[in-house]
Amino acid sequence: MLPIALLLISFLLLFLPIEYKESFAGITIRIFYAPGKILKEKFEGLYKVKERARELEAELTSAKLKISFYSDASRENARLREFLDFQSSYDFKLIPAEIIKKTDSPHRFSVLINIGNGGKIKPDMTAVSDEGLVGRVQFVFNDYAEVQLLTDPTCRVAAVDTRSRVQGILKPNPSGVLIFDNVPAHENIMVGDTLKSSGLGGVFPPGIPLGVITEINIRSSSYLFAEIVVKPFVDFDRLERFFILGNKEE
Amino acid sequence: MKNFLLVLLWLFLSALWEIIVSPSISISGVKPDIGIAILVYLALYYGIGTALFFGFFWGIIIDSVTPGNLGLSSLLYVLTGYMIIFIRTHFEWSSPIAQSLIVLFAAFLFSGVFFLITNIGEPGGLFYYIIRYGITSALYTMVIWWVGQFFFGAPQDRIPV
Repeated sequence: MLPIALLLISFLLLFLPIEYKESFAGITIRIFYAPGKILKEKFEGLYKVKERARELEAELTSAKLKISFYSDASRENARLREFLDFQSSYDFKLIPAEIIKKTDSPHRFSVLINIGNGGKIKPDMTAVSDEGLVGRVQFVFNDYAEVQLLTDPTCRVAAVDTRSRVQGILKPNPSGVLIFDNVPAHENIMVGDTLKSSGLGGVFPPGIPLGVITEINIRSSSYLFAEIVVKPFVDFDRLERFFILGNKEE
Repeated sequence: MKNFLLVLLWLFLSALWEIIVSPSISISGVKPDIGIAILVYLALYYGIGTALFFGFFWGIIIDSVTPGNLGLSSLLYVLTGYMIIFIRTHFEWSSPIAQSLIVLFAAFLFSGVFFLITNIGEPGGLFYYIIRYGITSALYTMVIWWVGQFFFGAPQDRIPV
């Protein structure tokens, strides 16, 4: 009896007008499918949240690694700052200077700059460019000053080899070529080594780049000192402007 | 009343399966017919009344997605349920293999007749649908039945028809 009744109802449903079928189907969907859809959306939402959590976890790990890296960098920075504090007594104010004239004499390598007393320039102040040491202020006038260049025959700079820490004097020879002088022949000096000011002369502060060693000549084994040729970092032929290291307090 | 609540529970569970699980386990558009699997289970385990009620209402739920066919799946599920009861009455069905064959037969019978009715006048389409979806879906349903047997055990005959 039951199968026949259900079959008959099914037949009746089949031949219902489409409007009734649609409204009936709508009710059925709301009752049986809606909870499932809500659940599905919840599950998908949870899945997306889980995916996002994984992504965030990866980002967090990456950020932690970066923090760790930056922490090391920060420590290194602090250490370097401590090192710089050592040099803080040489904390200078950079006074920009422009060359207004180059001396013509072959025996005197100097330039006149556009600042003098008014610019708080004093004799023996150091002149530097972004490449390295330019020279020192020799004479100061009201509106201009004369700067002795590194290549001047009378200029002397206490220098140090940055690799081997061998010390000597950087000075030009009569033909204008820079020589790292007073270095014993047996010292550990190599072509390609760079020189910086050592600060021992009392005129130039330490740590200013000077030049690179291009040639080492040892005339004979009986010679006590080597002739070490240095090419300056600063291109003096093209030099137009540089800075004077002034006192910061002033 | 108890059986009515049971049918209602199975209807909700089947609807959840259709919406949440079925799309995830679909293979090239072939899905297991969970309605057939539950129909066979209820027919073997609970008897004719529960099974036919489930089949009837599950058919309505399935057809409500395509309201034009409303009543067709109900009709076919009721007929299929009746065939299962017939087999249950006349043949030894308690072994897992026999039950799997019943599931395979029921799923294929349902989809075969469904495609036959919906493709009247288009024999090419009928064979395509039967081979592409009918047989594959019946086999897939049987696999799901095996999985169910593995986890829950094979239904035993407790209630006389």
